[in-house]
Amino acid sequence: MPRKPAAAFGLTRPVGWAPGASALIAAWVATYLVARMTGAVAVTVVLAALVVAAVGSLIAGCLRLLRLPVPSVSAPHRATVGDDVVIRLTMPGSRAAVHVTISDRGGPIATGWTHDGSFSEIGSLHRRGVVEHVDVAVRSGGAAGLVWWQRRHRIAIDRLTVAPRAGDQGARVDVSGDGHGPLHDGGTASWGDDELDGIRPWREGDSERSVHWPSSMRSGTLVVHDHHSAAPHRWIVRSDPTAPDLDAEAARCRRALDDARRRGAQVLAAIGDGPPVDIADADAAAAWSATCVPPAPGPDVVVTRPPAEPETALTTRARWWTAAATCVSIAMLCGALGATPLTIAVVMIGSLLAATVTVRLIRSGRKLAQQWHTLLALASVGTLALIVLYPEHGTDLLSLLRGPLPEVLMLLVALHGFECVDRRSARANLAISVVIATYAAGLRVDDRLALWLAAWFVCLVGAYLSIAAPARRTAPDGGRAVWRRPRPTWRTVATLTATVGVGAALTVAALSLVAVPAGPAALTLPTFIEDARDVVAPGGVVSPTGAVSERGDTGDGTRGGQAADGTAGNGGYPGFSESLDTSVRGPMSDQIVMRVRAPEPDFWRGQTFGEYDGRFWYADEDTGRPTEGPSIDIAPADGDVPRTRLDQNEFIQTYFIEVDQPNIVFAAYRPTQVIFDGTIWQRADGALRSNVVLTEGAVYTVVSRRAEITAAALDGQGDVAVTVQQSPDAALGRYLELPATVTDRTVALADSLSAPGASTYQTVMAMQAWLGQHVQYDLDAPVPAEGIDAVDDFLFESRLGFCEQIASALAVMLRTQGVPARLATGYVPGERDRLSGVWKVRASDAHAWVEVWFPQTGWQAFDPTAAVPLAGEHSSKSVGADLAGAAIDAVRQHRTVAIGIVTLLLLAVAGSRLGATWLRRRRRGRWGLLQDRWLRAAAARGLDPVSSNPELARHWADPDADRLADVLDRVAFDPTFTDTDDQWAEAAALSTRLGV
Amino acid sequence: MNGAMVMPLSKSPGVDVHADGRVRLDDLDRARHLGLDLIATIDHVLAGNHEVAQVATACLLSRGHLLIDDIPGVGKTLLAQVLAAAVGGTCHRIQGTPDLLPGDVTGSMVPDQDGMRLRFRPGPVFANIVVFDELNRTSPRTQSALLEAAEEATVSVDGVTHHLPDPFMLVATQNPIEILGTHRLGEGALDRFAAVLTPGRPSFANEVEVLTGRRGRTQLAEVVPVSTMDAIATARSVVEHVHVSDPIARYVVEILAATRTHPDVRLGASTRAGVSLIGLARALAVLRGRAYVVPDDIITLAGPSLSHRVLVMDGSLDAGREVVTQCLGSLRPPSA
Repeated sequence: MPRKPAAAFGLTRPVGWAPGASALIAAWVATYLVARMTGAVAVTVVLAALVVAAVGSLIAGCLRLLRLPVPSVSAPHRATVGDDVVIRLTMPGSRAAVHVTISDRGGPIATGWTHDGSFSEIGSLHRRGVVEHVDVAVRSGGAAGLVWWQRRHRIAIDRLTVAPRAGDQGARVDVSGDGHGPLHDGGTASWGDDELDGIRPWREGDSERSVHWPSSMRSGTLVVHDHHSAAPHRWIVRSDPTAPDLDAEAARCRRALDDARRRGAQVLAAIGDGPPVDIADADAAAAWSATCVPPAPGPDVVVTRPPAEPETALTTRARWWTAAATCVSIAMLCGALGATPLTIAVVMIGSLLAATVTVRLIRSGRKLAQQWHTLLALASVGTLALIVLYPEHGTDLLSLLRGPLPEVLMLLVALHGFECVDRRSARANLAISVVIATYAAGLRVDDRLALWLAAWFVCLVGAYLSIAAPARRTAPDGGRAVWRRPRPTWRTVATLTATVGVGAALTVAALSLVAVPAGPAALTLPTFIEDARDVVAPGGVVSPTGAVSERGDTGDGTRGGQAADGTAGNGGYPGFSESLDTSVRGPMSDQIVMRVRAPEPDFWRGQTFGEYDGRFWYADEDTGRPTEGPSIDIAPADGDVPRTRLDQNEFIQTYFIEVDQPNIVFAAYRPTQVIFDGTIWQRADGALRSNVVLTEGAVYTVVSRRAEITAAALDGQGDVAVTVQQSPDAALGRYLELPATVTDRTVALADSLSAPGASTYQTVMAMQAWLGQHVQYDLDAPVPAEGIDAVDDFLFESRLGFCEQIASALAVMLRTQGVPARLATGYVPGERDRLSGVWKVRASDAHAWVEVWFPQTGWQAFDPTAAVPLAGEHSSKSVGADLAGAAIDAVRQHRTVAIGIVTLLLLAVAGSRLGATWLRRRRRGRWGLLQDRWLRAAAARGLDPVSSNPELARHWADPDADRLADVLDRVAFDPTFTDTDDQWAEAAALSTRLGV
Repeated sequence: MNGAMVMPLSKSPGVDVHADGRVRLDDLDRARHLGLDLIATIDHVLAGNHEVAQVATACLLSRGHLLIDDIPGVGKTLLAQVLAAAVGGTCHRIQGTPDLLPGDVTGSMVPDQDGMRLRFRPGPVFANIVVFDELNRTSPRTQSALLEAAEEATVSVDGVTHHLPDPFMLVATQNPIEILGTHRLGEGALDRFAAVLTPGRPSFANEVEVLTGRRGRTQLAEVVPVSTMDAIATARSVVEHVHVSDPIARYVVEILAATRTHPDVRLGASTRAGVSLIGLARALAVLRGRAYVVPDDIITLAGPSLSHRVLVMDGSLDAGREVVTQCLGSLRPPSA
């Protein structure tokens, strides 16, 4: 059928979003709140990935439409209003399925999905007249189907005449010739000498004489004889163009023409009183009646705006994907909450049961019965009430967030699963799953988080893609048939890989605009201590096992929290006790002892030591005053400056204890608020101790205020010794005391490093520089003899030492210059897990450093051992840079693994390709492959491959070709054919001779 | 042509087959030679239209009926007559006229000689080959009576069923041009014909031969039957045992479905069309010496077998043929 070029009339424009897409937006907002509350990097990553995916799905439909060619439409030449017609549409070269609506003057004719660039549907026309062009609305939501785009074309088609349906009554008819009466009492017309043509249902006006009684008795309704008139008549049907209802008039005309034709008369038709035209057959009658009166004015079809997404049906495949995404998110959350196996089992079984029930419903096409809705609602309300009223939970926001909220969410998603039978509810279900997963990502700090998130994201994407896939299409014979999914090709695999790659790159790029979240993390699991182990000596340091650490322990292996066997797997660092032997460090394992969620690194300080006796450092005996939790305001301790002139910012850390620790509450300097489920002793030396041992699984949050301290700010405060002399502070006096063992050469060295008039900051820097040049870090430094000053021994004799000795030396040298200084112990920040945004602190990260007092900013940490950034120094890193850095680092560190993975991928690609070839060989067999070669050779000769083998062979004009064609046909269709090597050899010889 | 070539066949119309339903090769060979002889005979008389002869023979061997639809004077009746003559057996010819009554065709009850009892007098339809000329000139009543008899191979008069001779074949002709005073065959009537042939005008050389008397009607008298009724029955039995594999059957169903969804078609081919196409293809396979059907058989016969069965908008046979060609062109035939 020749097709005229079509004109596009309209641009590609969005038409709206799919039902349930708003739930995803709501989920995104909720996720944003979770990110704000928890300050978790993982949630930020999910947020960015969702944004990128949303933007991608926003334009995916547009991109798909822009690639489409202008369609061409073919339709029959004749149709009757309301009757089925087959409409075909082709868009060559487009594989992607798009939704097509073909309409005529506003009313849809046919609608459905294209398959492999073509579309063949049963439709019906709604208006009488001549159709010379149709409007084609091509619609696509891309693969995700969230935002739908549409492009409209006006396509010229071959003239399609749409005839009206025959009405109940006929139009005006002029009968000439020796007619036997009016048209409508066909039964009465002179029967007897007419030839019986058949029977027809009784109509108004038929004579009772014409009733065909036997048929009437059989059918139960009145049936009359239908006669051909024996004598030819001329019936002229005249339409009335001035009739009030033009369509009804056209219907009457068609009826009159049909009646007249049935009579066997010569049928003519005329518009009004115009010249009559001959109506030869039914087709001509239909064509004439289509145009016998002008088209009725105005649209006779009320065009309602169709929903953006053309389908609402959910496939079972999509339902299972949704269930998978939900289950993974629930598993994530359960893991974060430490839920019992019973809870996990109940929620999982609930979700899977819901999925099974709904899949059965989808298959059968039924809906959940009303009583089940009631039951579900009652179950939801009941469980909700139970959870809210559960006595263990507090009523404040924090405990609600911690306690019932996640359980309510899990319950909601499981119960909502029972209603999940259409696309809207599936998307809503996924939206809840998004909230649950991000909630879990906000809570979890473990290493498996990345794997869980990846699994969940795969399920989520799979669910969205399968929900949006066309569910069904109308089969050309009018029945419902399942839409055939196009078989994946290398192209689709490559497209998918490229999309994932581009999506990941865009996500990282988007994240590079987002700074590492600084909290406030105050709402995240503020405190949670599951296994509370009370401390017997209030205010004192207690080992993780509960053993009391006495001040003045000898340090021969039983001091502090160090375990008797010498392994310091937990809090076994000597610095976490009342006293610190500078000559002992003890073996440190690489075990992760805690994770700290904080936006930036800092020292996680546990203890300060003010008193030094030449070898031991001692903590203050004053245990301070206890304050009960959970929210504890920390007052400034000795030497702390409550408000500095420098800008202060909040720095929130949440500590997740992984290995039992002593009752020391670690905090970044300077803590102002601790959220802790217990009592805390605020000590004058700034350290914090709790009334319970920090057992594995304990969580607490610290809010610190840090001044924006720069080198210039410290330098500008001049010589601290002068300030201390001018306004002596009793509290600071303790930090100037020196034991008698300090040697003169130590003092002389300190004096030489302190230039006259230099600021304290410069002195500290000079001392650090000297230490850096003249001592070496060595964990196996020799132990000084009894009674020898440890600092003197370290500075002048061994010149080997570890952090305690280096820090002690700096502190003692500063004290000789009149500068208040003390030793602090705790952990260095540790290694940052870039996805969950936590610092992984290992046992070996235990450390000692020096705190120097400055009049305007208070205590300032200096680490003479290693170059650790100054506390409060800002490192403005973005999440994206962080992630990219993590990836680069991972590749650098595991170069062989990366190369291995790439090689494996390449091998997998090559292997699957080879495997596909092998499979094809197996599937097709040697004869099948020969047939393929034969068809290719035929196509190469310019023959139409849609031909039988003998037909193709005729074009060869070679008896060998005929023989080969015969053999190929025998292989396929002769039941007696047995595949022998002789036959194959013969066929192979033939094919070689023919060049096939 | 050469009657001596036809081996004496068993009296039984059935054939011996292998346990798995395969036909014996010598039976197949005999059936093939019978068919080829028929084709050669028709070819000799009729002005060289080999494909027409092939389809007509396939029609005979597949128990189908044949409609020859063409303009006057191209040998429609001659084709029917030569087929009848070559087959041997009884042959009746009926000329379709408007006043022909069903009883005139099927036979009717007439008074016995004693005038007391009614006796069934068989009509002209009781013959092995019935040539019905100008089928569309006779009334629909007679048409339907004839076609019903052909379909059922029985005639029921006055409550008594009379069997038509076996083998029975109806060869009807009609003229598509002169339509005044004719009754067009309905869709149902057309559907009963296995194939519709349009022989067309002979070629120049053939026309010369007809005019010089070397071919054509003058040769009809010289035709000797090349077969016996038993041989035909056996060959028909052989044809029924030809193997049709599943891909072939699916291919035919796809063709039928394609005619039903073609935009120009008001009514697609029926299942009976598919059955008769498969039957014809089986016969053609035997004529080509095979005990199995290949797609080429289907493609060769789809035109004659289906074009009268698809109801196209403008209603002509040519349009139907065009539709069938388009449908064939849109479907890849099955292969190894």
